[in-house]
Amino acid sequence: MYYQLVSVFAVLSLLGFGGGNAIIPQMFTESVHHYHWLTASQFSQFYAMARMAPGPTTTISALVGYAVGGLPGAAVAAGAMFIPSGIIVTIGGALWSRLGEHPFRKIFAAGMAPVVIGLLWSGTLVIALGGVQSWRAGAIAATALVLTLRTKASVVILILGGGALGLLFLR
Amino acid sequence: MAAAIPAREAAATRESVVLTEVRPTLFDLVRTFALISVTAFGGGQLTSMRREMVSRLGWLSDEEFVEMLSLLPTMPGPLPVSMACLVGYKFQRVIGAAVSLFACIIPAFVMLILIAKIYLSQAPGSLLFAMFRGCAAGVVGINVANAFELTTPYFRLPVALVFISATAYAVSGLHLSLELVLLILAPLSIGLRAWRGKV
Repeated sequence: MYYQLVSVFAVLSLLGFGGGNAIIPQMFTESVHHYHWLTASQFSQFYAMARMAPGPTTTISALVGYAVGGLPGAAVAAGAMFIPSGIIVTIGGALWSRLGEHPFRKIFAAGMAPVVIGLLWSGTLVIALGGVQSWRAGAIAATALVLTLRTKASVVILILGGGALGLLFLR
Repeated sequence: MAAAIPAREAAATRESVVLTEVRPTLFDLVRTFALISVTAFGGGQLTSMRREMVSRLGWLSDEEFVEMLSLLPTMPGPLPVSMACLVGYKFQRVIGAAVSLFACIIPAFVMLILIAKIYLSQAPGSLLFAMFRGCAAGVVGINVANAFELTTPYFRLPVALVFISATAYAVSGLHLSLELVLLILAPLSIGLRAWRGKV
């Protein structure tokens, strides 16, 4: 059982280029249709939870693992999901820093910069569509926006402040 | 958690944003990534990480942050976790990368299991979910602010602005796959940069 979890999530981990949301459909196919670990409606419920919870959406792997084998299953699935890609990224980063002052490094980084900033904007839009569904939530977001630009407040304070306002106004 | 905050505020000054001589210890890496991991409801940790690492703690300059960010689409893995690995490796080598990876996922993992337990036992209209929605709204504000701050250096560079908006529009507006967008726009942008010597 753990072997199956590892084999599914470790492969997905290595396929998750450009973030990881792209592998959710394949995760659905593997865990619902192929291994019958959970039903389609359970999967979509888990997806909603993973979207809402902190951390990347691929933490849904932990919930699938939990459904299969409780807490150990969750740990195994999450480990298989995040460790292989983490190793590759660390090796990639190490090789990259070995380039030193090579001109390609500067050209690549400068050329990619506008593209990845555009990606950040599109990620922001996705989060905004999910997180701001009323004018009150919009007001909380706007407050956090201004405080981020104008103060040095830590994100933890800003987010928990948003949570406190949510407790008051988003019931 | 509350005791850690005054020290963090003392660590960051305007100057450290320019001169990045701050070298985080393993403990600094764990504290920062774990706090973000446990609070960034609704996603968008990457911008929270920039806020802490670049704007507040002065670990990285924006140039270094964006360079690391630009490497991520060429490798697998969720962006915030991969970013933590790169930052961990930069300051504390392999141990730093491993520690940062776990600091990024374990708190989120615990929160998610807790949320799942609550979610299955409680209606999503409860007080706790009101708090989660408030946190998520706060994350949205932080995201917009950081994306804006990263964009400001490009306000005088129309070509770069075109690439920023084209990427955002292609992914969010046209719903093209990320791979396709990157395969078309990244070589164009890098090629232009190499050809003109500037963007």
